[in-house]
Amino acid sequence: MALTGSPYVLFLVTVILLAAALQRRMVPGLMLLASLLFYAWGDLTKLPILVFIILSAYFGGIDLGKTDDEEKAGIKGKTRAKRKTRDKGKTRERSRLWLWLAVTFLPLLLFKYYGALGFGKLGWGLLPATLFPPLGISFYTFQATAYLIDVYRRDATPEKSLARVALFLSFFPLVLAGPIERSGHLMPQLRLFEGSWKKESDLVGGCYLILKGLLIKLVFADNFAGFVDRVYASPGTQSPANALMASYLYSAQIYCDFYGYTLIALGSAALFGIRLVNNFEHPYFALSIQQFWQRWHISLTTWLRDYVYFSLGGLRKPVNRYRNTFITMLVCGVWHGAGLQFLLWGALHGLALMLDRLYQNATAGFLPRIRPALRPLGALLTFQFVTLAWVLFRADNLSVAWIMIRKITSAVQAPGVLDQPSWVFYARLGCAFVLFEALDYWIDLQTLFRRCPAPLKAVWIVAIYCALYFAPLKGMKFVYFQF
Amino acid sequence: MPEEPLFARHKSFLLAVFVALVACYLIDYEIYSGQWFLEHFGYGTQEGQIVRKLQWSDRVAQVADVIAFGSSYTRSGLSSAPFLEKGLVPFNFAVSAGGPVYAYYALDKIAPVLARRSTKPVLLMELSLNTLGLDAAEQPGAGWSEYQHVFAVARSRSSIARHFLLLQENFQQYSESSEFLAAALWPSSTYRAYGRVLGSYPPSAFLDFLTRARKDGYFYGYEDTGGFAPLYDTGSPLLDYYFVPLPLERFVPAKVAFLKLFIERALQLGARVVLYSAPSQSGYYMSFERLTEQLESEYPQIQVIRHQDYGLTSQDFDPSGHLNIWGSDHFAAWLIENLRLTGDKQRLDQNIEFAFEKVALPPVASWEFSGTEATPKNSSPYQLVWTPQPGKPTVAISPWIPVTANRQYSLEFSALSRVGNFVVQMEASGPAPAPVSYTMTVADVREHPGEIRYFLAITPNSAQIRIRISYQRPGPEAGSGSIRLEKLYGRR
Repeated sequence: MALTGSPYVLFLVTVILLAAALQRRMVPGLMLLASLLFYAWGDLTKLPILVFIILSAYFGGIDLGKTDDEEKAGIKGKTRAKRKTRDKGKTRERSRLWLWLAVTFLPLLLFKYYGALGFGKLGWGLLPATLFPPLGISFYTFQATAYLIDVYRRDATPEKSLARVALFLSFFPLVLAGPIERSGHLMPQLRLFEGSWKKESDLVGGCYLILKGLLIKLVFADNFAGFVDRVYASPGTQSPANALMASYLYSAQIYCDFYGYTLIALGSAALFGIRLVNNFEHPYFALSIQQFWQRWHISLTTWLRDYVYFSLGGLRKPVNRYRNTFITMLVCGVWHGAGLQFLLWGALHGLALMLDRLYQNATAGFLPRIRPALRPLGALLTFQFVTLAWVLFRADNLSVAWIMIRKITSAVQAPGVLDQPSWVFYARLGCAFVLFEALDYWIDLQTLFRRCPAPLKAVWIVAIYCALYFAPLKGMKFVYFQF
Repeated sequence: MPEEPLFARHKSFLLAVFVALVACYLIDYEIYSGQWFLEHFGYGTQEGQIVRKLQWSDRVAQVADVIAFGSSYTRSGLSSAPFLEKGLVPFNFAVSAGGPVYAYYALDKIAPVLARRSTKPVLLMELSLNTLGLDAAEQPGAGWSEYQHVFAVARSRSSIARHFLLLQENFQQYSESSEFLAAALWPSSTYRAYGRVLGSYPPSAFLDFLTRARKDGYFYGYEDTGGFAPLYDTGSPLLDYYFVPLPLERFVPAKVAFLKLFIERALQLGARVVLYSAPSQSGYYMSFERLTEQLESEYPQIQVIRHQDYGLTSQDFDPSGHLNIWGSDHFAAWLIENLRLTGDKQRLDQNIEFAFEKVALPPVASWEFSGTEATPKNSSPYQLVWTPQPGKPTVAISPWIPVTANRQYSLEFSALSRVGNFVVQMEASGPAPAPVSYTMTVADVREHPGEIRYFLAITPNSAQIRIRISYQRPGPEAGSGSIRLEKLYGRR
């Protein structure tokens, strides 16, 4: 069920009314049931995968949390024998962690890299040629593994309630495309459902976020997709101007698509008093590539930082930090897909981050007065780089990406004409998006909405309703559903 | 301690939401029920062609002898002329991509009229794999779900609510549940299809939209008086059809359910129901064999036409697989003969007078001519003959003809020559900024012998229209251009 569709709106209203009407003790059950129903809505056959991950996280958490009890039982101490026993215990514990991680990651690896690893060809006709991954598998798998590692690192306590782990991983606003939550942040909030969630419920903020998300996803992202899809469908026949406009619009599309989705997820959760982590902080206003990654898909970036970058170790040596950054970005690329273009995209960002760090280190001691003046240039260069790298991300394969990049670079000398149908509309919408984003950056619109009197709130809602007439009739799928 | 109700803390906000929803409802009502988009974009749209037929349906249903339902295969495949020749009044109620859902709702609209009639018309219902088959439903965005049709024909939430679950099942099959639910709540959301067009408008055109000034355009074809929209190309159609009986599972269940609802409603009204497969060159009807067997067993009163090819040849088709004007004449004649339809020529004039407004055409002698080459033909007061210089266009303009504003008129004319291009235009003397005009270009048609009849329709926004005809010979070839105006009918 897409978060932008009318069935979701009806679903959300029904769940909140039921939760408000039911007795406290029934609310956690309702939320879990609603979440599983939501996930199973489109394809019931994929529900067992989610259940498998839930069970893996639950039993893995219990298992990895046992060590404390063993230590309490008397293995603590400083004698050589005791130290040896403790080291053995640590190795065993690490092995168990790897085992649980392997079990948890198995469905993701199988579904996501099935074709790339050649399983379809190996099956002698017994295995299907392709496997379609269940929606959101990357997101809840990452959330489950973060939980397991946190329990292993003693950053989180193992959850004794299977229902709570199930809700933690399947909570309907985030199960399909995140944000990737940490148990330390979300688990305590989920306990609210057993108590007075109504006190925490933020109807005003939630509605605002949902409406803003609908506007950004349906009006901006889905329309931009119309232009971008047409250009990428036949890149060889496009003028450089079309290719250039498509690349800028894709930057806007992918941001609006994911940001819009996230806002609806955040808004839906806020209605129930749950504060999810924000995934975006105006990333296209970033002054450097490093800042871009601090503002783009924040829950993934921090996941990669905490569980890949730090895990690679050796951070005392500066050269290892560069190495870790590069490897982490390669992992980030491969997470998005098995194609070479994703690997290259990750490598490009890895290189850019390394260069950025080099530049920051090299200029840290001097140029203090010039650096602020260079900020606009930094923002411009960052945006141009990110936009160019998105070409790899959007292209179906490397040859399409190469054609597009050649067209884009030739636009400086001979731009040709913009001849895609309705390009005027897309150009206007692009400008409207820039204005909206700038306004949202400089003014806190949410606070403004909260503070304005009720009649103005009504006007705000009607204005968004009117803007939705410009959304395409057929909504586009979320780009990040495929990841 | 009693828990504080969730909504009590947000009373003022909830009131604001309520007020906003009421305002949104009013906007929706104004746009949908007030036909805002229809008035601006005119009758050349999908909604336009449906509404135009609906507006006339109550009147023509009182006298029609044959009413045909279906898709463009029927709309462009069942000519009116052979019926009229036999003294029968046809009403081609088919629309582009129309299927059983549209047919059921369309029949429902004219049911009270049919119920009052002592002699019932024959109801022809097309069977097409596009509108019934599961294969078409599995092609995303192919447009066979009848989404726009439902909201164009039903025009009220209560009509939608009556068959809500069945409609939901239908649209779910086409992955359009969300669009359907949105439109069931806010019917005007169907107009999101025009968002891109509106967004491309210059400010002045957007102002025209806000003031509902008409922006008419030809898109879905001009219809003759009976609702038939001819096609003129000839070519071997690329057929991708099945010629074997398809199992019942290969049909969309909700569409079959609506087909049954259509049959039940028609039989309830006492009408003769004939099912026929969309005109095709080969054994297309075989695809529906299992379905029609089931329908015949459930409804023994219905008639199913099983015929190999309706006697059609490749010359009768246009390249898209629809019948062209010659094929649709043949098909209509075949149906009349095989269904043994007989009309009453004496009653025909009376019926035509009831359903149509006959407008007197001004003789060409009264027209203005911009070039000396164009002359009225002495033997026929409605025929023009041109002998222009190559590449030099000439124009003939009729005097203003009094008509009724906002009524649809259809001009029938025949192209008699084979060389050159005619541009026939009808325009209304409507107020600025957008007087309505419709244009038809009649290109070289030399490969077809004999006269070819054309139709040009207009729904004027004023009480006067005029006809403007220009002619251009593209090359130095000898020969003259000739055109004859046949009739101008309005739909009462």
